[in-house]
Amino acid sequence: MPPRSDIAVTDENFAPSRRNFLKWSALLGGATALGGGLLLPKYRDVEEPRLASAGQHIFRTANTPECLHCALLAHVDGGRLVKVTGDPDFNVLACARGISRIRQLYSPHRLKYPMRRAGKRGEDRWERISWEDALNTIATRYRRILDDHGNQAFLAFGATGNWSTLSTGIRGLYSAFWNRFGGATPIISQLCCASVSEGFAATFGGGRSEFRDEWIHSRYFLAWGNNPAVTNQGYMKNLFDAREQHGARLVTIDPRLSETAALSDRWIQIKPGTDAALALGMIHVLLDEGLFDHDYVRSFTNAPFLVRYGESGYDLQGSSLGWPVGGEALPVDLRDLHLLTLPDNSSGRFVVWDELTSAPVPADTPGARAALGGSYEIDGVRYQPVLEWLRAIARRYTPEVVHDITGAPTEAIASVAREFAGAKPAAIIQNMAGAQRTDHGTLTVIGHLYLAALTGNVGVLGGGVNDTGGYLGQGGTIDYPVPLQQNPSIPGIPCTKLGEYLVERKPHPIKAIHVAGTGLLTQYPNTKKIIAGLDNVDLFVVQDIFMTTTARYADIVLPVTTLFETRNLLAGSRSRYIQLMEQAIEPLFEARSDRWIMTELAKRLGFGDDFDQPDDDLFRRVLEPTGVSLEQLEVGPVNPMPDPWIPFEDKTFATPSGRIELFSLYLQEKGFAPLLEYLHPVEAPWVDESLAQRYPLQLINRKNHNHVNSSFHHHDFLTEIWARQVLQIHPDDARVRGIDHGARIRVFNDRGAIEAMAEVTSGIMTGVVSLTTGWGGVDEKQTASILSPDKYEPISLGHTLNSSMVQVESGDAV
Amino acid sequence: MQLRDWSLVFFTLLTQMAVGAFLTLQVVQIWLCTPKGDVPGKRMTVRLIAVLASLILGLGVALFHLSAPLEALRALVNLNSSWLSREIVSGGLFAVFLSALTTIQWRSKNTSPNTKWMTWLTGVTAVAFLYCQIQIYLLPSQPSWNTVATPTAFVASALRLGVLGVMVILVSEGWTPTTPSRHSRSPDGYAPLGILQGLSLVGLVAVLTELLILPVQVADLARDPSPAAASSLYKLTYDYDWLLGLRFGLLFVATATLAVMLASHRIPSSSRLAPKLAYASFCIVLVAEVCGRFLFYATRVRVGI
Amino acid sequence: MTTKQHAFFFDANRCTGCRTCEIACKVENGVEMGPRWRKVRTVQGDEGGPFMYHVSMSCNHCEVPVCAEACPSGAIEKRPDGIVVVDQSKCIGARLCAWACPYDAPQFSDETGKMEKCNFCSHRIDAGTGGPACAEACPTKALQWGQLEDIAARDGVTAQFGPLPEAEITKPAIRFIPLRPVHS
Repeated sequence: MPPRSDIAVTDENFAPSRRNFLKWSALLGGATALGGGLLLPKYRDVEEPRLASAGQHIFRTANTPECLHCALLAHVDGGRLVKVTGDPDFNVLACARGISRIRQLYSPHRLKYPMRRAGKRGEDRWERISWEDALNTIATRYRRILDDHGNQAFLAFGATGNWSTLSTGIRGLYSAFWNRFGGATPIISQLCCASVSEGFAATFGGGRSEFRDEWIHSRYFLAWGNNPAVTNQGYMKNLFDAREQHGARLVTIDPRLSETAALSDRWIQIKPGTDAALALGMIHVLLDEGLFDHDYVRSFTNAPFLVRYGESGYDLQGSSLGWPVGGEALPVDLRDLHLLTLPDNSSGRFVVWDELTSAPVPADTPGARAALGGSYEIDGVRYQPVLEWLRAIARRYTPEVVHDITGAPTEAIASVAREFAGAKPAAIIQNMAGAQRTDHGTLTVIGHLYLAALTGNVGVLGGGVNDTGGYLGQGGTIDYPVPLQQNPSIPGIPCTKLGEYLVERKPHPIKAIHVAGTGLLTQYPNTKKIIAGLDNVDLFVVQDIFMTTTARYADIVLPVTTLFETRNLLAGSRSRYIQLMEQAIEPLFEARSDRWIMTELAKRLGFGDDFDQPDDDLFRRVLEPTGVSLEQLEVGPVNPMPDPWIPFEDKTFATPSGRIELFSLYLQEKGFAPLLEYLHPVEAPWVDESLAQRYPLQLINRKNHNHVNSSFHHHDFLTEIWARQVLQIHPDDARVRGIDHGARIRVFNDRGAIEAMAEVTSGIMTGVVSLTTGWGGVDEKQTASILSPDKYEPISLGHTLNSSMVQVESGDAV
Repeated sequence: MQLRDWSLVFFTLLTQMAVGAFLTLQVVQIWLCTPKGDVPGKRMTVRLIAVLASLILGLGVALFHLSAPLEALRALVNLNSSWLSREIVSGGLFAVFLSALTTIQWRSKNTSPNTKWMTWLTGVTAVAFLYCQIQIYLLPSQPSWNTVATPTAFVASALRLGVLGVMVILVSEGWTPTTPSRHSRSPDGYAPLGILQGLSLVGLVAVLTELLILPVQVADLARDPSPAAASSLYKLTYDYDWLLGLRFGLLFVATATLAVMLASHRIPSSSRLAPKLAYASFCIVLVAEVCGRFLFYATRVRVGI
Repeated sequence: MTTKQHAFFFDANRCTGCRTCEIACKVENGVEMGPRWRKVRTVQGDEGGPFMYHVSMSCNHCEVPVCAEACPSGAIEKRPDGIVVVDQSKCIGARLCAWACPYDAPQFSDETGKMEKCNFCSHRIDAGTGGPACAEACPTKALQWGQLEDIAARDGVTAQFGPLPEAEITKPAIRFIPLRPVHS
């Protein structure tokens, strides 16, 4: 066989080897047919309804999925949308997804009128019905279910597809509807950022920190298990400017050569799910070499707080030297560590060892110099500062041990730790990383927070852990558009366990599911089980813009307007800006806004009055706590936050001590170890060898530029470029399976199988494969969530889709 | 390779056959004319019509390559820099002159000064036509075309198809091979020494030139540092190895057939065998040429990304 | 004043591969499915460790427009400001331009049977309302536009790198900054 060309090049989205050039082209053609082409009626075949207004106008609107919420300009000519552009005055420029919305409006995949299922669920046979019929049917059946089974028989999903307030956004009208309905079975935790939230709660006492507009001030970027070049592409200009203008360095930690890794000064490949071990390895270097910020750690963290093991203490100095290496179980149970406290309940009740007086003193004693190491006997009991325990734990994570666990080059661990400590301000870009959607993902996040805290990067301009943000994430608040009521609480369903709970009717039978703009069947894990669980559900209602995979399983589908066809408010969930979304054109077909649908249902269910109000009244109520007026928004987006923004600028934290809690009382109270320790993921080849026999490859999910969760898979301009689900696989793994670059393959495990196309690339670790997360579109055969585990992260109860194992083989039969 | 590129496969082959056949006929003519004698005008007319048919058919097929065949005349606009414009002009002139020549030939019983003059003009145009055709493909953007193999292959195709085409014409006229020591027997009652053998020999050599062209092409592509060249080579020798194999297999069979043809006068039943051999070798070479020209277009890989 | 030549600038270190330029081009110019006037290409390889970068290219409005030379019907013209434009009324769909162009710029539309390609948003240039939509839409300023003279004078620029065609073939009006190598 002739050798492969060193540089494999393509004018498509990845690089075919020379060998498969033809096969590849053929497949791309076929892919279009499968992903779009044949199944898609032609764009121009769609009947265009007559539109009312005339003349040329530019309307302001915004991109509403769970992304950057970029401001868009809708160019309308004669009542027809002719162009969509990013608002050049906004802080970020809209991407391909935002401006491709021009194809969304007139897409042949749009739901045009309400429909009732005419075949089996998922069979895609429909009967057109009137709005009146649809709404009455839903209301009548909801009432009956309510009477027979109560509110607990309902499940409602919304939010991710559309974050605007008068639809399904955070604190939006949809949540208000279900509140006024009397509640529904809650979904416990969440798929996206549960472990970030929990990590921040455990260490910083909650909150979020986002400083993307301040990246220009950063001197070091550690993109950790996260791909900001895709998920924050609008803000990357700030990062690039920091590199060009200030010599900032970018280091990426990722099992694959992501778009960010490819642009980095340095790329460190680690095995999925081992991030906390790498963090501990870096912490070990910081503590061992004294590279941490002593004053900062002493003043703003609980590292100097004295801690006792068990009742009488522990001879940490001697014994810990014999502890097993990192990744192996400790001979002590960290949950038996107790902070020494004074018998009051103040934030100053914690005790440190004053090096000046050689005596224990309250933590905030002025003039004291708290010890960060050593072992002290007080009243016959051994105490050590928290940092001493962390040192003992981290000592086990030598570069060699970390290399064994993570696969990272031994040399890289210390050098990145040193660089990170030496460059200030330094940012860890974590942004709801894939790394936290793992088994023990909370520990990964805590590792990031430790690193930022130890180097004094929290509360510093351009420093810290960059999570996701926006106005709401940074402490801002908006009100619900309608007043809420107090409902009795209902036992919930863990987000990852939806399928199991539906199938087994836990904690109680669910009779009706209402989905608004959410890819229930392309995002929620172990999806086949959810589909099976739908058999136990009497009524499944989906309101969406498109006939999505989820909508196809509905009993009744309701057509929703796009963002151009309705007036709305986007109140800073993923952006700092609050934006008014103007209606640019009249609704097409029989599409109605989410607001209209919920209002009409509310009327029929007897609580319509609060919903049936003029838009502007609802807007004013929402905006009340923000201090931003509707009139301001009519001029343009408004950022109600201070500029520049420094998260935790006052360095006070909503923790019991008011400090960063390396020793987390929050975790201890929940029954977890209060200090960071690495735990192996359960579903990993080196842990579960029998599973690895059948499914030897670790699967990680990635995000591409063509989608946000399951949104945008219906925009033909995007499917023209990204036609199919693509599995990235290392040449070694491909070779033993006889898989060629561009080949059609099957990816499977016990939870199901999907089809994909192979991208054979040395840009992914051996033993690891990657799929695009979700993948909605018209073809559920490519949906990665089918393979995702429904195990939840132990601390946050979040998603563990990146702790998954699969097997891959040639062929496309699913 | 797109469907419509197939029209170029047939366009180039048919027109090259016309060029080759026209030139071969002239050589045969000269050969026949010495030491004495002539071909009756009618027979020559038929031969020219066959050549003209191939040319017109080829030019017609080329129209299918255009998305606007009705506007084909626009293609004459850019003689200033476009080799395609020049190709079409020279191809058109070739057709016009050949038609004129055929007409003259049809009307005059014997060789007239007009015939000679027009023959020369037509021949020069034919060569110019082939030259323009070659120039189109010598593009720096297409390494697999931008090699000495392209002109060689085009000329070789013209020679193979032209020579064998003429051979087919002659046997269809009833010619049979005779021993070299005697005159070939022609239906006109006169024939010089071993014309069919001569054509077989030239055809055989032309077929064998492929053994030179391929290594030249492969060497050229291998020398070229661009990934595109490597990619073309890969397609040629890996993706289309079967087609390349088929082409060489056919050319091998054609060689064998022509070798038999060359020696057919020694076979007792040569008068019945020779036409079959001639037709067979022509057809086999034609299929092989289609394979080759398909490969020419299908293994093209543009430089860059 | 020297002769004007509009030109593109592309910095591989700032390109995330988001293809906003591609879509902005389609939206601005009403390009239907099929032709892609601008394409973001991904280059991957494994020399000195795995690497990947993107290159966004459309027509490079070359100083030597070989497409125009090859076109038999004279449908391609280079304007005095350097922009190379297709007059579709003259195009007969011979597609010689596509063979001649080393950058895959001319895009054949199966719908119209005509060649089309980037026109540097000449309608915007002519109206003075801005530059090419692609460059103006680039969220990271990886793709920019200006006068060749100025762009060619920037630090670290080159007219060809990696697997790009030799600039000598057409003298493209684009300058690149290649990717700085990643250390893994």
